[in-house]
Amino acid sequence: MPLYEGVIYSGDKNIVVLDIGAAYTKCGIAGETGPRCIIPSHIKKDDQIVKLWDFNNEEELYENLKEFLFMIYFRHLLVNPKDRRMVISESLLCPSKFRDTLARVLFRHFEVGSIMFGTSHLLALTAIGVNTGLVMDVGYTETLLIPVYEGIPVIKAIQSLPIASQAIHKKLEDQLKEKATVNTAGGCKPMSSMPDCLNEQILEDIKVRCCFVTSLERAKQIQEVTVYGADSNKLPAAVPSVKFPLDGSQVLNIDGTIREHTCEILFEQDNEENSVPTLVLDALLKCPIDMRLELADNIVVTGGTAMLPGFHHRLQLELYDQLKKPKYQNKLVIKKFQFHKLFSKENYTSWLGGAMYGALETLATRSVSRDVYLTAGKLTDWCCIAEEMETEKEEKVKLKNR
Amino acid sequence: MELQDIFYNNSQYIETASGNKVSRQSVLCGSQNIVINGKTVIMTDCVIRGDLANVRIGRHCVISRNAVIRPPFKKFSRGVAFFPLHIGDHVFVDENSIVNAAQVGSYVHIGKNCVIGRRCILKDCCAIADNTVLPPEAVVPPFTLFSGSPGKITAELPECTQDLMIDVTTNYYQHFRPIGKGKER
Amino acid sequence: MLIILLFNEMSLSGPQHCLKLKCSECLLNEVDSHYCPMCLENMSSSEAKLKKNRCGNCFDCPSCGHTLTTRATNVAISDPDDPGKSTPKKMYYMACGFCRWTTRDVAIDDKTVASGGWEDIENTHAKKIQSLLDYYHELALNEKAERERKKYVRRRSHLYYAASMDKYGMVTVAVKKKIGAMSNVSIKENEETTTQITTEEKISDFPALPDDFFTTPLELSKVTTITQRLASPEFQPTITNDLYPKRKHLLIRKSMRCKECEHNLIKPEMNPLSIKFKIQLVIMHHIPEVRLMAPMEFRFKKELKVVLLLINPVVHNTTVSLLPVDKESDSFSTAKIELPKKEVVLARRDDAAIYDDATQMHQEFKDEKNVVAFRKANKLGVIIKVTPLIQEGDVKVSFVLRHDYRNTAVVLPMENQEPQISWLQHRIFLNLGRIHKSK
Repeated sequence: MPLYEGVIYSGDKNIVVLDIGAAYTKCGIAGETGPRCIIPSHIKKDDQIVKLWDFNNEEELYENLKEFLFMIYFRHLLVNPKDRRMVISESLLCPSKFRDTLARVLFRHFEVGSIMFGTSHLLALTAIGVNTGLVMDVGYTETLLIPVYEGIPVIKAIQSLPIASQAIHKKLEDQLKEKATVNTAGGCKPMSSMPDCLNEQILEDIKVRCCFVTSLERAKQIQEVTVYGADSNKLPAAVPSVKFPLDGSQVLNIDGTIREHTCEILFEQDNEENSVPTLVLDALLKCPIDMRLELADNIVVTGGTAMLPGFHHRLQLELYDQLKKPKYQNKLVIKKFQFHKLFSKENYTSWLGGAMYGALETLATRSVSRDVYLTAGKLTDWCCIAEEMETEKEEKVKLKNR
Repeated sequence: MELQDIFYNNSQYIETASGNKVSRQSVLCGSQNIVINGKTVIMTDCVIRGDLANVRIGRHCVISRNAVIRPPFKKFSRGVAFFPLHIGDHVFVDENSIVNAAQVGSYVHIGKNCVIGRRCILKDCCAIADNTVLPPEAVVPPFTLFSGSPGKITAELPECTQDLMIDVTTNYYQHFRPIGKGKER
Repeated sequence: MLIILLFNEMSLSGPQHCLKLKCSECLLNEVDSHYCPMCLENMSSSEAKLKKNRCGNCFDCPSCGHTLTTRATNVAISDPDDPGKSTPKKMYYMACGFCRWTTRDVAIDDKTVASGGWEDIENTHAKKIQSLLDYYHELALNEKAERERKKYVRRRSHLYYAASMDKYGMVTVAVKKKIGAMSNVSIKENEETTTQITTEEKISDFPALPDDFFTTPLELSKVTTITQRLASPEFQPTITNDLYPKRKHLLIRKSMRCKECEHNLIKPEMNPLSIKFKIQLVIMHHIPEVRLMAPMEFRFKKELKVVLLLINPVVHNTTVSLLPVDKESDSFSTAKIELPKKEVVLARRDDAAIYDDATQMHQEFKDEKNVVAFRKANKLGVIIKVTPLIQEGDVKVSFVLRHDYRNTAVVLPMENQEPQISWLQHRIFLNLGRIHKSK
C-alpha cells in the first residue's frame, strides 16, 4: 500500500494549488493525483452563507478572501502560507478586481512566496498531456469554451454562455414551485404555498441525485411540447417520480417530468439559436480553417455540470445533429468529433493541471514573486499589457524630449 | 458587560457548607454517590443520576435548569455496567442539555438543548454550541467548538478560554443571590 | 446571552517587546503541531506530510462524517485439519454510532486485526498521471538547461573580448572555469528526450444511458449526496455501495507571532491535551479590562451616570486615568461623555484573597464619592456621565485609557533591577446600549 503517491520534484516544501471556482474550490498540494478537499466557495458569517463571488466592493471581497484562505490553510491543508509557492488556476476571463484582490490578500496578508496564475483551460490540457484541444468548461455561472492550438488560446474564437448549473437550479426551482407538492404532517400541499423550504443546497442536492440529461429522441419529443407548444399528449412516457425528504417530516414529491426536463435548459436553443453544443460549432467556425479538423479531433469537456448522467452522450449526439443544420452544413466539413479521456473527474481537471505544473522546476520562472509584486505595486493582467507598453513608451518619449 | 444579579428564593435552595447552592426542586438520585466539590450552582429541575454510578462535579460549576447528568453505560457480554462520570472545574452546562459523557474536562461550556452522547469524552477548554447532538463515543479536543448534528468541529476557541470560563463561572456564583430570609453575601 | 458574547471576542495579544496590541487577524499565524482529534496523539510535521494529514488509525464514516468505531464479533471458522470442529475467531468490522453505517454494508470483508488492517483504495489514474509527470519533468529539465546555456552564451562574447584585452591572464582562466562548469549542467543539443507519452485512445462514442434508467424507480437512499461525494475527491462515488471509510483528517495547534518585532506571542504545548501554553501573552493578563456594570436606559439629551467596571489583572497597583478624545477626529461617538478628572488607582490582584472569604481591604485608598462607585479586591467601579446626542440608535462613546505598565516578561539582566515602567494609552470604544424612539 503506497503511503504517498508521486514525488514532488521542486524542493522539500509543499506547493499549494488552488482553483477557486464560482461554486466550489479545489485545493491541494502539487504533485498529487487529486485535491485534498473540494469545499464550497463561501464563508459563514453569523450563520449566513456569503458566497465569495458575490461581492459589492473590493473591501468586502478582501475580508471574505482573508477568512476563506485562512480556513483553507489552517483547517484543510494544514500548511504555513508564509514564503511558500502557490499555483492558482483561474479563468482567462477572470475579472481583474478579483485577481488583484486575491493577489493583495496572498502577498500582503499571508506573505506567500510566489504565485503562478494559470489559465484553467490550458491547465486542463496539461492534465491530459496534449497541446491542442477545444476545451469546454461547464461550470456554475457559465459555460466557457476556449480553443487552444499548440498551447496558445485562440482568443477570437472564445465562446461563452451563461447557461450552466446556476441556470439549472433556477429552472428547477421554477418547475418545483409550479408543479411539485409537499407532504407535511398536515397533508399534501402545493410547493408554491411554502416557498421557503427550498434553498440553494437543497436544490443542488435534488439536481445531483434526481436529475439527468435525457436521450436525444426523447428530448426532441419534449421540446416539441415545451418549446413549440404542441399537445402535451406527445410527451414520452414519464420517468418514475421521486419522494425527496426535506428536513423534518416534510417530503417533497418530484414529478418524473421535472427530473427529465430540468437539464434540457442546457440544450434548448435561445433566440440566437445558442445552446451548449452550438458553442463548439460556433467556435470551430471562428477558428482558422486549418485548425478546425485538429480541434474537432481533440475535444475536452471539463466542469462539474458535465458530470450529470447522460451528458456526454447527449452532447455528442447533439453535435452531429446540429451539423446537419443549414447554418453549419456548408461551412464545416467535419465528419467526426473525438473526445479525450480525462485522468481525473471532470470537476478537478484544471486543478490537476495546476498540480502537475507546480511539481516542475520551471515553476519559479512562470510565477510572480513577492518582491516583484511589492515593487510593482500591482499585478499585470494579459489584457493590460498593451496599455502598459503604451504608457511606458509615452514616458520614454517624454524623458527624451526634456 | 458584567453579569447581572440573579435572585432566587432562599427557601428554594439549600446552601451547603462548602458553598454549593442546590435547588430543592432538583432531583439528585443516589446523593451518597454524588460529590460536588464546592461553590457550584445546581438550578431547578436538574436531574443527577448518582444511583447508576459515581458522579463527581468540580468547583464553580453551573448546572442550569432541566439539565440531565447521567453516567454512561457499556454493554458487556455478561450484562451492562455504568461508568462513573467526572466533570471538571468551572464547567457551565446550559439549560435542557443531556450529558451522558464519560468524562467532561474543566473550563467547558455546554450550550442549550444539547445531547452529549454516551461515552463521549470532552477535554478541557472546549465548547459545545446550542442544539448540538454529539454521537456516542465522540472525542472533543481542547479549544474546539462543536456544533450540528452529528457534532463536528466548526470553529476554534481563543487561547484565553480558560480565563474566560473562570471569569464567567465565578461571577455567576457571586451574583446568584438569595432574597428573602437568609444570609446576605 | 453574555456568555456567547465572551466567546466571540477576538483574543487580543500584546507583545512584550514592541508594546503594541494586536488582534488575531494582524498576527502571523503559524502551524505549530499536528494531532488527530480522535486519538489525540501528536504527529510530527514530517509524518503528517507523508500521510497527507490523515491519521493512521482513525476513520470517518463516509455517510455522516462521524468517527467509526471498531467492533469485534466472534466468527466460527472451521479448523483446516479437522472439518468437524470449528474454532471461534475474532473478526473486526467498523460501525458508525450515529447513522449506523457499517463496513459490511459496502461488502468490505471483516479484518482479522483490530487496527491497521484497513487498506486505502488506489486511484486508477495514478500511474498514468505519474508517467505524464515524468515526461513533463524531462521537458522542464530541458527548458532549464536551455535557459542556463543562453545565459552563458551571451556572457561568453563579453568574456572573449575582455580576454583579448587581458593583461594578467585572469579572464581566460575565469572563462575556462565557466565553460567547464557549464558543460556539467547542460545536456548536449542534439540529444532527444527518450520518454514519449503514450497518448490515450480518444473516445468517439460515449455510452448512452441504459434503457431501464427511464423505467426503474429511483431509490434515493442508494444515491450519494454531494457532500458524501466530495468527501473523497478522487473517487466521488455516485452510489452508496461504493462508499469507503476515509481516514480522519488531522487538526493543528497554531502559534502566533508579531509581524513587526518577530517575537512569538502564543506558543502552545506539544501535547494536544494540554491547555497550558509555553508562551501566552494575552491582553487579559496585562491590560486593565473595562466593562459596563449594568444595562442602562438612555434618553435623548438626558445625562445619566454610568458605572464602568475596571479590572486590574496584574499583581501591582495600577494607576489609571481616563482621558477624552479629540472631538474632531472622533467619528464613533454618538454621545457626550464627562470623564473623571483625576487618576484612580486600581488595587493589585491577589489570588490568595479568593480563598479568604473575608473582604478585608489591606490597602486603604482615598476614593472620591462622585468618581468611585465601589471598590472590591482588584475591581473598581468608576462613574462617568453620558449624555446621548441622538434620538434613536446605539449610544457609543470613546475615550483614552492611560495606565502604567510594568514589563515583567522580559528577562532582567540583574536581579535587583526594577522592571521598566512605561505608560500605555489605548483608545476604548464602548457601545453602551440602544435608545429606542420613545412614543
